Amino acid sequence: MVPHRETGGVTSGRGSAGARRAPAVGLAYSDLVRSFVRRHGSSVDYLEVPFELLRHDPAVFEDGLGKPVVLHCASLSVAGAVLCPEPVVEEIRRWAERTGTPWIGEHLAFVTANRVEGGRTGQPYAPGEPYNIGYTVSPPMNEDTLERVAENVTSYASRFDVPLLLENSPLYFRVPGSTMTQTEFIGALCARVPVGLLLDLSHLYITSRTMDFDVLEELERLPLERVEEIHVSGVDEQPDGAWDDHANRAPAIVHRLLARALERAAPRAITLEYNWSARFPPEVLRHEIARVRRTVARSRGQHRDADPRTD
Amino acid sequence: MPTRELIEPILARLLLEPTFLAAMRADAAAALRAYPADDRLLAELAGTDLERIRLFSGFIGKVQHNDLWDLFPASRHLLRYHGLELEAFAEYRRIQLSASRDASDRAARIRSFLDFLEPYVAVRKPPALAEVLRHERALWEVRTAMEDSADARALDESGSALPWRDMLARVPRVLGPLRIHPFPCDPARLAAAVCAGRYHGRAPRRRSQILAYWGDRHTARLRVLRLDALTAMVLSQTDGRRTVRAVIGAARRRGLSEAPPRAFRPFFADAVRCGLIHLDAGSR
Repeated sequence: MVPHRETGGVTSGRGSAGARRAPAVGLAYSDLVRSFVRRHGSSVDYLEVPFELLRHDPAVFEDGLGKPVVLHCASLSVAGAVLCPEPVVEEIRRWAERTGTPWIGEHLAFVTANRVEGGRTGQPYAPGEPYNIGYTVSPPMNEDTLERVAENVTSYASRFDVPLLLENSPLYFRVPGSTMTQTEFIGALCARVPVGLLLDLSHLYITSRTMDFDVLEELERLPLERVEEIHVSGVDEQPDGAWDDHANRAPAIVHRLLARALERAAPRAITLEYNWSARFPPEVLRHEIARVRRTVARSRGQHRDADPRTD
Repeated sequence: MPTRELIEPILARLLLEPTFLAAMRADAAAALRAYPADDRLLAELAGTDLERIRLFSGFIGKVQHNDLWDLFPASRHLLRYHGLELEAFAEYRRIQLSASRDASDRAARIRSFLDFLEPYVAVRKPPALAEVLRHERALWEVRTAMEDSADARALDESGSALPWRDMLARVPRVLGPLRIHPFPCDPARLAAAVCAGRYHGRAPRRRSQILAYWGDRHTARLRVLRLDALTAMVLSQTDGRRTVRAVIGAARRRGLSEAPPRAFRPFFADAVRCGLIHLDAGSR
């Protein structure tokens, strides 16, 4: 288990009944973040590290990160028909054990897909192999997918000693075959299986832009009591829509969503994902960490007023 | 296979095979004809916003090139400023996907994208981008070449004092990586303004110049030199095979006919003294 710290830190348990610890505040790993932690280590409680990076470059962990690790993953393809190869699942399990991560975050998405004969146009992609998109894509939100995700989550969860959290993917287009909204899908999934959530606020906002709904109202419809971790990152606003952006600070709406989410959710960790650019200004990183901590402190003040049992 | 299970394979194919995406945009029904899908699903797939999928595919390509931008910050800023970033990556996707299985090293990926981007920018002509891109590419290429062969060497100035007759018979060879580019403006100043957020869309002030980006192996530093026309012409003719006499002849034929051959001597002497060229003994 990741060592618990009195203020911040990430643990696998919720502590004593009724008690609410302040969520730990961490950063998504990058080379910049590594050097930032060396200088400003006290402001960061943990590092979220992608499994795919550890798999490719174990030295990232072996050289010592100096902080507890939360494992993030984009390989399980939990919403897809193509199961993650068994050796990869085993590698994830081993890295979870080795890093002592309190959970494994994974995307509510598919990364791979079966190849179905559908005629040829030009040079086909990797003939004979399943499609590997190399990026997480939201699946069609319907009953069939729901059933598949519930099965896959249950199956994968049985392989790991720590819980699996599912992260809401951003919707960049209306996925054909969908019969429900992403929020409805997540609600139905939570009703079916005991899975925790990783709520990515920027993804939620991007989805609201694509699907044209009020993001604050939609947030209220999510099963926030299942949220264990929250992601905060930037959004690239373009004339053609909003896009995920880990190279810029989160817009005001994302911070507003965080404050609103903390009114109902009791996450154990909040991760700032500013890991796409080695030029991300360290002073902005410090400012963003402080801003998130202030938001957390305000929400806890409100909770203390409302509930004297909280610490 | 149940028809609903076709959605993910078709979406994956749209994201990974730009030719299929183009076929869908041209005639969705024809592109999907070979799939065993029912009419309802076909109608739904045909009604999907394919332009958004094209941009999403470009977005994936963009994310997969995140490491590129630390080397080309001003170019990236201008691509975004002119609203071309996603569009460029969507256009590039075809090349990226055809190359991704055999070009895995970072320098090759960067070179491939830049080879695409330069003509892409040249056609669209967004203000300032071509100049900044050429500048940042030259810096990157010279730095990369210096890293690839970091053989620092002692300065050998002996060639600068050779009698003119002997110098003419020598073969000048540029030491270290060198790129020479003409610019209509000062690209370094422009790039700095862009990175500092002080660029507001205007065409850069005209200030024609020729710059040499030189990896100086004696000092292990990248130097950016402003060249006069004579120097630029002579360096462009210096290929490591021609003698000084032949280089001067070629330069004079290409526009420097007014300059007498001896007018070139100070250039060769200075270039040898600063370590830019070495005068090899020619084969007689």
